[in-house]
Amino acid sequence: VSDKGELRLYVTGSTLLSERAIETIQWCLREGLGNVYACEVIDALERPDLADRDGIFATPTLVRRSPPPVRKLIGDLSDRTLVLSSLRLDAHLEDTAGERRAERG
Amino acid sequence: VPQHAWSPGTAGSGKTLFGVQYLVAGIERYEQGGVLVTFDEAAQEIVRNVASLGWDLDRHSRERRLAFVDVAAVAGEEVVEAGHFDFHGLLARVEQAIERTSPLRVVFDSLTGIFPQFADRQAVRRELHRVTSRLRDLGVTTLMTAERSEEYGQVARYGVEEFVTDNVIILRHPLSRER
Repeated sequence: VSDKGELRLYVTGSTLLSERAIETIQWCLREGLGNVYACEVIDALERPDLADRDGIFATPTLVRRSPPPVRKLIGDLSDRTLVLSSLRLDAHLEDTAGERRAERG
Repeated sequence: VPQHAWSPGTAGSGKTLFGVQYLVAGIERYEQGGVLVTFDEAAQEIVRNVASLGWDLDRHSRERRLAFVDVAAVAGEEVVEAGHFDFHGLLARVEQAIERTSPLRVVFDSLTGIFPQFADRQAVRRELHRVTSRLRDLGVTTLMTAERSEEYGQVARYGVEEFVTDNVIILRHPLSRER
């Protein structure tokens, strides 16, 4: 079982916006986000049931399903800095490491 | 029969009830399926609120004559706008609901709930337009509710909704005896 946070990127087919969002999230994962998050790309046209469950309406949408709070980034993620800062990479690393130590202690 | 109608009213004028009644009438009187897309309140909240009127929306849903697409904001969730977007995700969910219930009537309650969520209003207008044309192509009749800021003034708060519809039904809630 992975300790990583869970991201889901909802896209719709191969639109320009979908492609841009996928490109950005792949870049972010390579730039360090991949150490703390696992990301699944879901096509809402093929899995509207999952889109339903995650309450997706504008697309693309990147959902941080864990750790809480649930956070949604709506759009093609063209602002990479905003993506990284919204997922608060460093703070998240420190927080969960701290929590785990506390739980074990 | 209007294919796209839109019903603006001020808060408390009965927009949601009007929309739900439209769907229930389709189901109970004309055997037409319906889809309720909720932006302002969670679908289950609406189900509870109209139960006292004798409308059993859960039963209609179980019997596949009614489907909900819940788009209401969830408490505790944080939403960040991060670039250009479209409403294809919403459309995918609405089309799934349409297939499940083969409806002729789709209600959006309400458009007012959508706009504050996005800074790019132009994009919201464009995408709403796309959603309504797609629904028109699918042969369903769409009713959209929206809130007015005052009883007798500008019809819509965001000055857009008239353009995406064929008809406008205004709900007014006049004060009969002001004290």
